[in-house]
Amino acid sequence: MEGFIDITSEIFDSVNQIANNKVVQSPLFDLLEGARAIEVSNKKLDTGLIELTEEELNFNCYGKVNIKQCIGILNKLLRSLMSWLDHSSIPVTLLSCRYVQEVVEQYLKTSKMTEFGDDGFSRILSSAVNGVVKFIGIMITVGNTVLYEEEDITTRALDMNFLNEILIDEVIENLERSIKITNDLVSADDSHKLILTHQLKLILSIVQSPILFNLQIELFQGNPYEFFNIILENAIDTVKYLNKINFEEFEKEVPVGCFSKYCQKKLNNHNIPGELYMISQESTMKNLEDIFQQLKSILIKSTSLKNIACLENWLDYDVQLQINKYHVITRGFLQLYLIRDDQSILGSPTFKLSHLSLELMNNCTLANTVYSSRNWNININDCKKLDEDYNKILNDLDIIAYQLIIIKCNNRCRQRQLINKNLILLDSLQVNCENFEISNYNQFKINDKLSDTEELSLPLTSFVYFKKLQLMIDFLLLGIELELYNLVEIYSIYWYSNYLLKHLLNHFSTRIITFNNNKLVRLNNKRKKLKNASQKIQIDMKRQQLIDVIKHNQQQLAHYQLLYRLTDNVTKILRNHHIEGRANFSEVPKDFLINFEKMFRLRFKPFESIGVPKSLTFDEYLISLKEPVSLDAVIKDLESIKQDYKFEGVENQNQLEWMRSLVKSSLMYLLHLNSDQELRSLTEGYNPYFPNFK
Amino acid sequence: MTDHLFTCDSLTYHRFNLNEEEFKIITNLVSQHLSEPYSIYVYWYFINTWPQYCYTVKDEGKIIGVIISKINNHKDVRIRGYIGMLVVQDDYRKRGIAKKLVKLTIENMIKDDKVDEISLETEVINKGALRLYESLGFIKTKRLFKYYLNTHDAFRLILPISEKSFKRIAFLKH
Ligand SMILES: CC(C)(COP(=O)(O)OP(=O)(O)OC[C@H]1O[C@@H](n2cnc3c(N)ncnc32)[C@H](O)[C@@H]1OP(=O)(O)O)[C@@H](O)C(=O)NCCC(=O)NCCS
Repeated sequence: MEGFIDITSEIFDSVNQIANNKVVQSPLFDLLEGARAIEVSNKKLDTGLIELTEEELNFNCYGKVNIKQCIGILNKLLRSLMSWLDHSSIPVTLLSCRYVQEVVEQYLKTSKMTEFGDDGFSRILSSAVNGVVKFIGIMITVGNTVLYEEEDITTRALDMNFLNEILIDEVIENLERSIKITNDLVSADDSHKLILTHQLKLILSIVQSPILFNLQIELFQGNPYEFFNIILENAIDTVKYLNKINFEEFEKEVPVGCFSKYCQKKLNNHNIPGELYMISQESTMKNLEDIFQQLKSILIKSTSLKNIACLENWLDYDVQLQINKYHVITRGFLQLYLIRDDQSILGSPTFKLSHLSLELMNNCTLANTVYSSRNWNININDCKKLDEDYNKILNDLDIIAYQLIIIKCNNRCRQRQLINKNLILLDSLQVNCENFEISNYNQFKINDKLSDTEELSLPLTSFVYFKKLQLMIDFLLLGIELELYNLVEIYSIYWYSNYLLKHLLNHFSTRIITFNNNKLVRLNNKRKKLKNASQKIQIDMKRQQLIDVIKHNQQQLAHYQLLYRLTDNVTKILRNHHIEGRANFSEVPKDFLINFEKMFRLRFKPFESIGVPKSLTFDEYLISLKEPVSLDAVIKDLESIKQDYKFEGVENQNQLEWMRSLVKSSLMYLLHLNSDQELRSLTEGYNPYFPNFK
Repeated sequence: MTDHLFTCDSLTYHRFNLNEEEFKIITNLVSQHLSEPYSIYVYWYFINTWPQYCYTVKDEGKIIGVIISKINNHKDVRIRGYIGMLVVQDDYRKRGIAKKLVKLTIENMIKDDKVDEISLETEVINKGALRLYESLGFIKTKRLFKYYLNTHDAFRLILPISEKSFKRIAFLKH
């Protein structure tokens, strides 16, 4: 290397003089940066050493292109876009295209979109590249807002601005004009024109797809948003058409030097050199089709929701449990679609986060209570104070509702971490609600009776407690899906889940359902005494709401009963293995540096501070292992599960499939009982929470 | 040599001594097994700042294994030892060498820095490393989504040492 002097050995010599073998670091000097500086001239790490060919160095974006070249470039551009969002980064995908680099570099100087010439093909190419660049910019913003960098998405934008201030309408207009220009071309081959038109249409659909999170859905009104559905359907057809084309002959025509490592060397790049990354044509088309299909399904399902129960089921079964099946574009869009900057839900002008959180509570415990009507019946000063306190509680509940939605939109790994975080929040909110409701009763006798007894109903507390238990159970079972548990821990996980499920079922039957039934009985009685027709209509509306709530309660109850029975039986099966020496759930393997109790305490640390239900101790765990097991009873129960669950009235397809996979798991465990081999590993079963035992 | 710690199965275990040649050998050994070359900076940073937690194994003077770790103050409430890199040369594997290196690191971290817990990350598909750490009682506490670029999810593993590791951070902060 000319002009450089190797001082490595001098550096090491001087290092030898440093006392304690330790680098003394000035607070102004970042060691990581320093380490990078040392790496100048290492080919693997120094982007300055990237070698570029003459063609790459001298590539001219303003030269003339023909239709085949245009098609080839656009195809590679689309592949680069899908490659970026396939866990790669922008410099080794999209920015490797010189047209893209030119657009973003020019934009920094001129704040305008770039035109690569004024002939037809140059204008077509310009509109397409500008369109893709605009979409990159949108996706970066989506990533910054709702995704995790280096986890869901990796940007590395090299300090470029991807047309952020350009209006999307302008980009769309240009693309539409290009489609027209292409159609009007006289000189070109018809089949080529057709391909190019479809490519432009596809880019147009991609640029239009963020419309989703600008739609203003009136929840539960059934407005289908036909125009956006048409955009998505057309996009799907376009992808299907392009999928049949062989692009190899066009890609061969792409001018040499058009895609290279140029940007890695020339732009402000803090990353080490990376090979260009390009996924296959097939994967590109499949991903594109998936994205549009997923957006379409989101649109259709979310606009046809009938009531809050459907919304909850959709969030649980179509969003939370399915989230890893969504493309990262869909995942980002979905979260922005669901909840907007102004806290509106699905962009509804009338349904905001606070309405959602109230509706979620109504759909559990709050419907037709003194807390839903806010009809306190107390003197005006007390009333003011009470309203203030209640609003504070409602604010906290809004935060919880928000968190519950966010959890569902995140990847499954994140979901578990977010659940863990929110447990503390829910636990303290439960205490606050309980204090609030009890003090309201003590001071003002504000209360709805739970049933015929004098017991307080505490609808707010009851709701929060239910949500907390739900999350605790999700937290444990999700760990099974994510393969977090060592085989020696697996019994403890089902045993603990079963304990939580027992509390949840108990809460459901003795509180939530009892309370809602009681409210319904009271309404029925009231109705009988009424003569006035309009009053009757009012009561009937309230009755219908309660009937819907109870139906939803029953569905949830069925789900949790099923989980309870499965965890109960699995616990027993595993305990039986332990008792018969085919597994050991009380002693750790010989090389462990910690004992079983420490492992147990670390595993259940997230519950350590939870007040109700009380945390299970390691001693209780050991005692549980000694309880005798009746395998006959296990077999009998597993066999009856299939008959007991018919899922009538379950309308959501994913919900139905989820429930069926649980039933199938019960049959799987029946088969497992035939084996008397040592327990060695967990393998995939029908449901991610219930693996098979091998 | 002053850095020699002990000998086992005729292999010698050492505390790393900063010198150019060993540095290069370690760099080579480590970079062959890194999923992302960028991290090499991180390991240099580790070795420079915590040379006391870099150990090597030699066969007749030739380095065949290395472990590099650091200590950090986790969210200001716990002292956490972090194992950054562990490599044993192919033809020396499955002889318990890695296990010795891990144990050596942990023992010294407990003795000299009174760590509350030890943590590390490894890819979901790295069955060898997972088997090794899990056999020592490390617990997988998190799955990190697509943690490494272009490859696979990773697991965060923790080995609890002191009482503090059983308390949630929110309740340790006061
Ligand atoms: C992971 C690695 C360090 C293990 O080194 P090693 O010296 O072979 O490990 P050990 O001999 O100490 O093995 C410890 C235990 O793990 C098990 N194990 C190690 N490698 C294994 C493998 N590939 N498959 C299955 N089990 C394995 C051994 O059976 C042993 O268990 P035992 O005590 O019950 O017999 C080595 O494979 C390596 O250098 N891999 C590449 C780099 C890497 O992935 N590092 C870890 C990233 S943090």
